[in-house]
Amino acid sequence: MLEIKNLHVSVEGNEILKGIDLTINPGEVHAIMGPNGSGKSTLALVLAGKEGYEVTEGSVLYKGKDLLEMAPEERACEGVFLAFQYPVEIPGISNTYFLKSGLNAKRKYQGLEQMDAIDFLQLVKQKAKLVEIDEKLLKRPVNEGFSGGEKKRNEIFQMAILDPDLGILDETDSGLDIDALRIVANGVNKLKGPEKSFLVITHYQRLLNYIVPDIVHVLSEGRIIRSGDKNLALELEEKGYDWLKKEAEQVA
Amino acid sequence: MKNIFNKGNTDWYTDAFKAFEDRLNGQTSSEIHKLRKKSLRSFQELGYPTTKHEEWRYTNISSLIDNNFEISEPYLSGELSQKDIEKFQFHGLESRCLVFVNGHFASELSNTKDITENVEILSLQKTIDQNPDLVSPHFAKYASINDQSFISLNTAFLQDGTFINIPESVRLEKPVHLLYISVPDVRPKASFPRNLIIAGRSSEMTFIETFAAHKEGIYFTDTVSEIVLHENSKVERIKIQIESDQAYHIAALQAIQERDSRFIDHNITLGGALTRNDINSEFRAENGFCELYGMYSGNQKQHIDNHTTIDHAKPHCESNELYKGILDEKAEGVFNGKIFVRPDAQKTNAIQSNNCILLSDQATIDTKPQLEIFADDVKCTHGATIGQLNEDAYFYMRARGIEKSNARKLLIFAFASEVVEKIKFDPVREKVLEWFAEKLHALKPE
Ligand SMILES: Nc1ncnc2c1ncn2[C@@H]1O[C@H](COP(=O)(O)OP(=O)(O)OP(=O)(O)O)[C@@H](O)[C@H]1O
Ligand SMILES: [Mg+2]
Repeated sequence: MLEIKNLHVSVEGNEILKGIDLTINPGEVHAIMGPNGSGKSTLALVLAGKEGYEVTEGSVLYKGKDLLEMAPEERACEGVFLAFQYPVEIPGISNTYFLKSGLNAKRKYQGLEQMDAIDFLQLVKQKAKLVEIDEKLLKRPVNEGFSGGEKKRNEIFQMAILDPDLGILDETDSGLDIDALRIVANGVNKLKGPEKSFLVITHYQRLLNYIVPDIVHVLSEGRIIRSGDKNLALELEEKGYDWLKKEAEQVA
Repeated sequence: MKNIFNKGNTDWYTDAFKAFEDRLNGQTSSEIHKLRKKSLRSFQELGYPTTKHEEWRYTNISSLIDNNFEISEPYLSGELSQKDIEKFQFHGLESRCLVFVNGHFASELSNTKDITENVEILSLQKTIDQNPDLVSPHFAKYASINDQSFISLNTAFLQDGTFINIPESVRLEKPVHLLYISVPDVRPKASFPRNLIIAGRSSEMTFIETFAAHKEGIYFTDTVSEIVLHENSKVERIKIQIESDQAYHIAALQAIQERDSRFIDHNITLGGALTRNDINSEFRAENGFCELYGMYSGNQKQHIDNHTTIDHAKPHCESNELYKGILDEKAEGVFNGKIFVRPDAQKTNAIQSNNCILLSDQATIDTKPQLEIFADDVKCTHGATIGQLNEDAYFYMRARGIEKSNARKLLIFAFASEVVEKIKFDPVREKVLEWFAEKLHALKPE
C-alpha cells in the first residue's frame, strides 16, 4: 500500500525528517508515537502533499505509484485521507457542501456518476450516526466555532464519507474524552478491511486499546528509532521516550 | 481652489443643457427648472475633480471626461420587451418593479400593481409635474450641489427617477425594485436617475436598485439618491451594480436619520469599467442605527471606488460597516471610510472593517479608514486587512479531493459570503450569488 524509502524532508531550510523507512501493507494498521516536535505531523502532511515541505531525498510509493508526483487533490482521489491534527476553519462554506464537493470530485476522478442530493443526504445520515456527530454541526460552516472534540469527530466523519484506502490520523484522539475516543475508534474499526490501511499518530497508548495496531513505530528527531508490536506502546507509556533515545544515540 | 478641479470640457454639458431645455418644452419656468439651472452653474464653476482633490486621489476620471456623453433620450414604447428585462428580475420575489431605460421611466415594462393606496411609489418626473409640493420640501436638500461635481451634474439634468413616500406606521412587506437598464448606443449616452425616498414615522421599507446593461457598450450613469428616515423608521437598500464592462458608474447616496431610525445598506459591485460610490449617512438625532455592507469584485482593468461617511452628530447612535473586496488581474480598488464623531456625540458605538483579497500581483487596493473623533465617551474600532486567499483552507480543501480552481472559487465565495448573507431576501441573495458565480466562471455553491 505505502512504501516510504529514506525520506528526507526540509521545511524552510531545516531538515525535519532525516531518512524515514516505512512500509505499510494492505490491511495493516501502523501507529507512530514520539515526542513533540519529532516530525510526526510533518510526515503526515508530506504524505498529503502540503506545499512548503521539500523532499530532499528518498521516495514514496503508494499503490505502486509515485505519491510525491501527485497533487494533493489527486492523492485524495486516489484514496489517501489525512485527519488533520489541527483541522482548518472555513467560514462561509457549509460542512455538507464542502464534503459533497470532495466526494463528487473523487467520484468524477473514478469515473463514477455525481451523487445527487438525496443519495448524499442518506449517506450523511448513515455516517453521522456511525460517528455520533450532531447533524446540526454539518449544516454549519466547516469547523467554524467547533470545539476541539467536535473538530476531531468531524475529521472522522469526513473520513467515513470519503472511505479512503489509506487513512492517516494525526492525533485524532488528543483532546477527546473517553466516550468520544471510543466512538472515533469504532468509526475507524468499521472502515477497516483487507484492502485498507491506517497510519495512526498518537501520544496515548489508550487509543491503541481500541484501534489495535500491527506495528508501533517510535519517531524521534526525524528518525524512526524503534519499531515493535503493540506492546511497545505499553512500554513507552510506562518508561517514556528517554531510554529509547539513549539507546539510539549509543547505536549511532 | 487650486487645481483640485478641472474645468476642461464643461462646455460639452453646457451645450447639451440647451438641447435638453428645448426638449423639456414648457417646463422651463418651474421651481425644479430653476434648480437645474443653478446646478448647472455650480457644475460649470466646479468642473471635474482631479486626482489632486483629496476625495479623488486614487480615481482618475479623465477617460470619462473625454467621452463626451450625450444626454439620453426618453424611452420609446417598444424599445425593450418583458423578455429583455426578465433576466434582471428576482424569481420568487414578490415585488413592485419600476423599470428605467437609460434613466427614463418605462411604464409599460414596470409593475406598480397593488401598491397600498396611501403609499406613493411614483416616477419622480410625474410627481414633479403633478404634485411639486410633495417633493420640494426635501428634494435636493441633502445631496449638496455646491461642492460635488457629479451631484450638481445629476441635478442639472434631472428628469426622472423614483419618488417613494411611505406614510406613518406603514410597513411595506414587499420590496420595491428599481431596475435601471442601459441600452448602449453607438454614440455613448449619459443618464441621470434620481431618487427621493421619504420614510414616515415608524414606517418600514426595502428597495432594491439594479443597474444593468441591455448589452455591452460604453455609457455613463450618474445617479443620486436622497433618503429621509423619520423617527423610528427603517429603510434598507440593496444595490446591485452589474453594468457593462465598459460603463462609467458614479453614484451618491445621502441618508438623513432622525431619532431611533435604522438605515441598512448593501452595496454590491460586480460590473462597470469605472465605479464610484459615495454613501453617506448623517445622524440628526439620538439612538439611530446604521449598517453599511459592501462587496466588490473586480477583474481585468475595473476600477471600483467606495467612499463612505457616517456622521455621528448626535449621541447614542450605533454604526456597523463591513466591506469586502476581491480583486483579480489588473483591477483597482479604493476604499475610504470616514466616521465622524462630533463633540456632542457621546456614547457613540462605531465599528468599521474593510477586508480585501488580491488574487493577482497586479491588482491594487488603496484603503483608508478615517476616524475623526471629537467626543471622549465613545467606542470606535476599525480594521483593514489586505491579503491573499487562506492557504491553509485551500490545502484543506484540496486534501479532500477538491480540484485547485474549484477550491479557489469556493474560498472566494466563502470570503464574500459574510457580506452577501446579510441580504435577507432569499431570491435576491441567490441572484447576487448567481451573478457573482457568472463573473468567476463558477458554479454557485448551494
Ligand atoms: N513551517 C515550519 N517552519 C520551521 N519549522 C517547522 C515548520 N513546521 C514545523 N516545523 C518544525 O518541525 C518540527 C517537527 O514538527 P511536527 O509538527 O512534525 O512535530 P510533531 O511530531 O507532529 O509534534 P507534536 O507531537 O507536537 O504534534 C518541529 O520542531 C517544528 O517546530
Ligand atoms: Mg503533530
